[in-house]
Amino acid sequence: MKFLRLIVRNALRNKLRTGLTVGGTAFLMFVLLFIRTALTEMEAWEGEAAKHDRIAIQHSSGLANPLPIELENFLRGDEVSKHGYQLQKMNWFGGWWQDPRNWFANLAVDHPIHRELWNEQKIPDDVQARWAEVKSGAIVGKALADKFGWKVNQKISLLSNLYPCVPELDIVGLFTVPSDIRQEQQLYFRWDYLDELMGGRKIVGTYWMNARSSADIPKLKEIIDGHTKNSSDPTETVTEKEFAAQFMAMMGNIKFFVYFIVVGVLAIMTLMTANTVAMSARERVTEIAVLRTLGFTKGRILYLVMAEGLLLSLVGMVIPLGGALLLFNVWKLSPNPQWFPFFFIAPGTIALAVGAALASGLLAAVVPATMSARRKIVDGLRQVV
Amino acid sequence: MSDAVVRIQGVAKVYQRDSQAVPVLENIDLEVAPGESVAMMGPSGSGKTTLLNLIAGIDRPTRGSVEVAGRALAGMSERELAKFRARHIGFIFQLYNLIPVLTAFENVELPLLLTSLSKADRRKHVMTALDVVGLTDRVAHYPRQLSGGQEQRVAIARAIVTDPTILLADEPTGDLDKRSEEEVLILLKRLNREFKKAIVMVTHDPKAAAMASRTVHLEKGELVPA
Amino acid sequence: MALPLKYNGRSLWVRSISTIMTILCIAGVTIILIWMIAMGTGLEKTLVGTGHPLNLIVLRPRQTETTSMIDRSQAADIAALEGIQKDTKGDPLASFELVAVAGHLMVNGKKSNLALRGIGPKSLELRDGLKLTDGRWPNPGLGELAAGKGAQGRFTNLKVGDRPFIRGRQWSVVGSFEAGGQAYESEVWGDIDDLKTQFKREYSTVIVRARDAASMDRIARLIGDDKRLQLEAKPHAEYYKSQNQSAEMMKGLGGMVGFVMAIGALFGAANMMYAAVASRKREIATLRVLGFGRLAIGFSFVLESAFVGLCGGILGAIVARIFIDGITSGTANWVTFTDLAFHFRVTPGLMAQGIFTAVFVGAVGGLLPAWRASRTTIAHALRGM
Repeated sequence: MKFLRLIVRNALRNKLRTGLTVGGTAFLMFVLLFIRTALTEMEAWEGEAAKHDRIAIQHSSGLANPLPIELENFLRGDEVSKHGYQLQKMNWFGGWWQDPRNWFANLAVDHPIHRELWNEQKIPDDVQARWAEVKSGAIVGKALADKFGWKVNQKISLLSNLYPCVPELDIVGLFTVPSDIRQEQQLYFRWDYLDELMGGRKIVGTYWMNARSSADIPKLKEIIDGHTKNSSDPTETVTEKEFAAQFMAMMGNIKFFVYFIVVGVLAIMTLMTANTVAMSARERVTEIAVLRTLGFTKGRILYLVMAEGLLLSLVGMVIPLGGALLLFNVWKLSPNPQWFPFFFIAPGTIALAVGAALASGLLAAVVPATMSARRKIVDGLRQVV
Repeated sequence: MSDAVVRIQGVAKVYQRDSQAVPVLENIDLEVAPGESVAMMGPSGSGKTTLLNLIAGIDRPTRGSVEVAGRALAGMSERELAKFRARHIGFIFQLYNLIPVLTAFENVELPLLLTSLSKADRRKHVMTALDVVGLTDRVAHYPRQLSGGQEQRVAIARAIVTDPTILLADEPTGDLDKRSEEEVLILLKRLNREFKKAIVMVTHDPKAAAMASRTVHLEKGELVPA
Repeated sequence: MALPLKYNGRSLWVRSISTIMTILCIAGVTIILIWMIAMGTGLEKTLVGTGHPLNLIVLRPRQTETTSMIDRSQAADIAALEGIQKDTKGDPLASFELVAVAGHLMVNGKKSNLALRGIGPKSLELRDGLKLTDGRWPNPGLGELAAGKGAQGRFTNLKVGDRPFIRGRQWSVVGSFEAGGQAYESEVWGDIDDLKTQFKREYSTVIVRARDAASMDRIARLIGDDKRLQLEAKPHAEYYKSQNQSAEMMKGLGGMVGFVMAIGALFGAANMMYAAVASRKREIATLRVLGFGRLAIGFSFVLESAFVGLCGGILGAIVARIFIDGITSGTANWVTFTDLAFHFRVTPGLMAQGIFTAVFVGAVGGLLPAWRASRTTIAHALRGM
């Protein structure tokens, strides 16, 4: 790194130009971080789900179709219990509080088994006990409670466009999810309470259970879907990861869209940096020839120019990365709290940013660097500065 | 003489400009003995700088052979030539050509960065070179903070810091005022007489040529008798 | 005296590489900006503009067509209300419909939710812009379906002659229809009784056409106030507009991304112009000596920079028009959770928007460099360093 000083000083030779280049690429890099994080946030559930062996049993015609209550007996039966346990009924209520824009995940669930099936959610014993006592009780994730300013024992009512009833819930306590703070944006109330409001019609949205091991999952799919295949309500049993992926699939070609923007941003960034490196190299034609006279090889010259491009890119990356990490990971801000309660920059995105900066810097400099290195010494000396 | 510092035999150089062949040097035979200082004179366009470039290994002849410090330059690859230059050649330009973003010290240090010397050793060599040219009080100055004469002296220090076999100077005083010119010429003479450095100097100036032990004349690409 | 444009044109040509790269940067940003807005507008167009202005849609309060429930007697009561337009035979222009959701395989291999609508005799009359492009409308009792163009593009097995398996039985597609880009194009229509039977549901929707705007208000109020009915009437167009959340988010996101990228491009343009000014200091001084004023010089540089922006904008707009316009995609309607097909629309208006932004970016980017150019002191520049 003996030449670092030379490289840095050269880059700073025209502070305005360097500043504008770094500034321009910084803005573009910020867009890249932003767009990719939107994607990773949407896919976050899938990533978390892979850590567990939970499965969901849903209607094969889609989530909008309810399942019969009779299926519960079969799911508790010996055949299924050999491979799965901790059965729970769960209905997505799809409600909001006061204003339709205040929507969040609210679900009606079998409360007794909830703590064990979703064991990453830490529910204190006393909260669980109260939940069993109060039929209209609800447990709320801490982050959600903080967001809306809810307190324990507060009464809230939910409106929904999926169900015609209006649950009046008592917040019996809060839960935290240390390993996955996103799950704290949820509210759970009791399935039997929803059923009572709906006139005892026993509508089941989905069944969830825990496979005894990941090897049991294919068996469970076979047993359960096989059993319902010829009934009037055939099921589709999926892993939690597959369940989450459904929603991504419904969204459309988001992945492609994001990658297109990322590539576009990279291309523009590279062009910008290339322009600057080219200008800089053009100005130093004689100087480079002098270095060659002193004994600098072509390879060295190539290295010096490429390093300058790399330096510009890396600095242009560090600034927005640092800013974004501060904004989103430390201060936990979000560009659209309704759709994205959290907007964490994932390690993968950081790696992408660094890689992109490296690639961009090298690509940007490769042509000017090659031209500089290849130029004949005598031609370089002949140029008048 | 087998111990000649420079031996040029039958050298010709032809430039290709578009489809035109432009002959610049023709039929050059030249030898420079160790410790000798040679002045090369001639009108503009006579090929002086080209000949100097051939000795430095910056350019290759179209015909003939160039030997410096006993090594034939013809067989060397670009990389070998670079190494060769770093070790054996000290080049002094008319326009000094210092790196503007480096201080005087750093400019002189530059050739040493190509070696594996430690930082401390490099410092020693640099200060020695700057001492020879009399600029130890300006080490932290940037070229723009130096006068023309001072810049050229830094350039000379850069040229000698690696203790090269030969110094090549292309109109070293061409851009200097009277006083600086004298200082530089005295310095070059000292390098030649006291430090026994072989020097080949291209110059217009008869005064500069007078400092040399021998003068050769180039006219239209050929060496002519004085 | 204003500077001849020939001067600026020639200067651009000489620094062509640098100029071309800047043009490409601006073009790239324009393309991305147009794309994002085209997506948002395309989505929006599907929803806004669906629904005849005199139509009312009646549903259970807060419910969507997929979850609402209206029984026969309620439907009959509504159809008998005063103020509803009558058709040529004297029957009220009212239709009783049902929207059901079924998971169906998409062309891209994933599954999403298909919206099926059970229609009655008046359903076609109540909707503008419908056009049967192939085959015929479904007849009752035979499990026949007519598929909208959008649905056919997104899902498999929905072309005329296909026999898809949906919700427990085989259906046959007997017709294709278009609806001028309205949301209906994403649906598949069948006979109302067929669907009621197969999905085991009641009517979900009643659509009526009011005689005039005053009657529309009256009918809506009557329905809303009727405690027995417990239903809610909304203008049909407004019902669709309110589902516009995805489009809103896309447009917001697109605007934000575009804005940040534009700033980046602005930096790039400024960079290019600063270099231009720096390399032409002598020329500028000469022009000053010749008598051109500061303002004229500054203005000519802004013009030059704006012109570069214009070139980039035009290039970007044309590329966007060629490659992006007309692409069909789809996403989930986040209210009904059904698939919503939409087209990317790069309208001339949007192209103009993109070009205008590019020119703006170029001009603003060139402001400070132009100011610097105008401040070039004659003596300073003529000194040559």
